[in-house]
Amino acid sequence: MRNLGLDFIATAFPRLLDGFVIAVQIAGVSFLLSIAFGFVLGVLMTLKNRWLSVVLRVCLEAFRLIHPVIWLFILFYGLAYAFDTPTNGYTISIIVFTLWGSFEIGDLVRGYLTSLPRHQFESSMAVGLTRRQMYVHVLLPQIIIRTLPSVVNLATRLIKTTSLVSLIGVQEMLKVSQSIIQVAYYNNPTSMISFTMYLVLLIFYFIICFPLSLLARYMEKKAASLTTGT
Amino acid sequence: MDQYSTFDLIPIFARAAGTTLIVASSSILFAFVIGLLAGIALFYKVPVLKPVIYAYVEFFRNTPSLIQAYFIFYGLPKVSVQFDSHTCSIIVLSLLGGAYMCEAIHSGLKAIPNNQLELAKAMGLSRLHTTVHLLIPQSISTSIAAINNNSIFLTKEVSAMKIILLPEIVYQAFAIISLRTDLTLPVAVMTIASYLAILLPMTYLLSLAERKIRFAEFGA
Repeated sequence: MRNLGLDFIATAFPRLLDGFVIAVQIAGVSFLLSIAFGFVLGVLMTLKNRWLSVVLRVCLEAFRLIHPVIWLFILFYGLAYAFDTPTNGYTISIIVFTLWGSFEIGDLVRGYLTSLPRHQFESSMAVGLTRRQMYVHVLLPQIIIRTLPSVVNLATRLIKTTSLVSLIGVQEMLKVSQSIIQVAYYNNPTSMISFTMYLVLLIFYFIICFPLSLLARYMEKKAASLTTGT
Repeated sequence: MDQYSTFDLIPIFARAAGTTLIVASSSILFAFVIGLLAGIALFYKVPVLKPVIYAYVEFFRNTPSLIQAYFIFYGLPKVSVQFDSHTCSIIVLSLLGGAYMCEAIHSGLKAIPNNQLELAKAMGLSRLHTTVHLLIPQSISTSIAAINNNSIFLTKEVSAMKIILLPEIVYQAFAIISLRTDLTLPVAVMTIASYLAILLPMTYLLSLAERKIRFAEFGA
């Protein structure tokens, strides 16, 4: 039992929770920001401005094709190198995840907006709604219902991706558990702590993400029944 | 390393891109096989396998690949299961991708109308023949878009395997920058160039495959 290092994990559990709070902060803040920016970006992507749509398209593909870990490193070291100031891993990770999430949500919103039948735009104009009223009262509610499952999915992806920020030195769960592992090895070189610690972490993440993905699946069914016959 | 210039970076990155490509393509292949088998088992509701596969898929979909890699690379040796970083990366990515592929192929299988299965039974096709000639081709054709997305995802995910010391593109980039900070810009350019060199032809080939495969789709 001692070899499993469970006692170390138990003693250091408050620190793990601190790491968890940081991970949730990063994921939560960037999630809320990406919803806000994502809707704006999505509407911007549907506008008929050629240059704007090309630029947004390139940005979207850049965030899709390049792994977040590379973006984290590019911004973390790149900004420090370019401006000769130390960068804060916490801020950088929020920036990266916000940009990434905004473009993902933006693309969802764009995809749904362009798939809406034309008559919705025309009917809203015909009943005398202004452009703003059309977006707020007609389009937005439908977009929210339809994109919600994918948005919840994005939340689980964001939470899973927060484990990457340990690579730029943010003290989240993974980083904390690595220092726990080091301390345990220092005290007992034959300890099996790296087995138990990472298993505990996997279970931890699973407990957070699994309900969210069940929720997303439930919402998907619900949304399909709410908006039959687009 | 001191006298290295920008030009000398090219062979290093070519080799790293080769590693990425090999690890990515083998894990895509394994993931596809795992996904196909698991998807078919889920479709037939094989008694013991079904909950096991379900647990496997949900576990790998809902935990970070980074920690999966750490667990397999640093955790499992404690219970005497040891892999080198190449094998370990392929294992992690195949299992991860297999979970996603299983999901995609299973939904493709579910989309097949029931009367086709009944017809196959009426024609006296065995279960094996039904699977090989009816289920597999159709499920692949309906889920090819998702399979392609997963393949791209796996290729990008190779860069996360840097943490278990796989000498792929990002790993090399940071190895060089840590020795020569003045090469930061060319290294960044080379990193992005190597990724584009892999991903652009890949997306092209995959969309070509998608068109070829869906060409024969029933009623399309």
